[in-house]
Amino acid sequence: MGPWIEVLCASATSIPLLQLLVTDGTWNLALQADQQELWSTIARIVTAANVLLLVGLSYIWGRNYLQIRSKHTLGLFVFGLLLFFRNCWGFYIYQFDPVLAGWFASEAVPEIAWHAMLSLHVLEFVALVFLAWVTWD
Amino acid sequence: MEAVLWYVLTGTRGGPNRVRLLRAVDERPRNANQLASDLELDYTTIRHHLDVLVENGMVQKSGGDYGAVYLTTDQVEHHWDTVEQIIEQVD
Repeated sequence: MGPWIEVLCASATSIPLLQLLVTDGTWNLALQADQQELWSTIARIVTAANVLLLVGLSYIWGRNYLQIRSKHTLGLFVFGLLLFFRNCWGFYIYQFDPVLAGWFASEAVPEIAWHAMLSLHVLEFVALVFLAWVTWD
Repeated sequence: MEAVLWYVLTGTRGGPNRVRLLRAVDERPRNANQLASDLELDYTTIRHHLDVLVENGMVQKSGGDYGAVYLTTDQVEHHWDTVEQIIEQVD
């Protein structure tokens, strides 16, 4: 462990901002704040990826609905649109909401809550990837 | 089978073209080249759609490797009312 920490600190001190943090003794605190930022960044990336996947899926389902006007094609299209809005709303909350965006990026949200929320976003992403895989055919 | 028919024919990117292909094959068995010229689609597109339809048990190959004709399976004939319903809505 020892040598690795030294290497890590040595490389960290080559970056001015980190150098300041290390010498300042606020390293741990900063690391914790970074961790919070990281969770909120992952949440933004995954919800944005879901939005993109749903744009593609809704486009295909919408186009099929125009060609094949049936209950099934309409159902898929509406399902895609609603899930699209749900992820847009999620992204808005994490990125732009005047109150919530700041709150999610702060230490106010405990790690355990982030784990639970992110697992939901990531599972939804994996599910959408598989759906896109069969739909793209 | 019903759910597969609906998704493969109406839920996917190539769905509407596969409906045309299935209708053509049901009319009379044809090979990939004939389907390409009859439906005015690229040969490789036809090949891809045929592979998907075969994989999902909707059409089957008959005859030798070269110029083999494709025809509908018993399974899809059994559910032809569903296919009919989809075909009607394409028009």
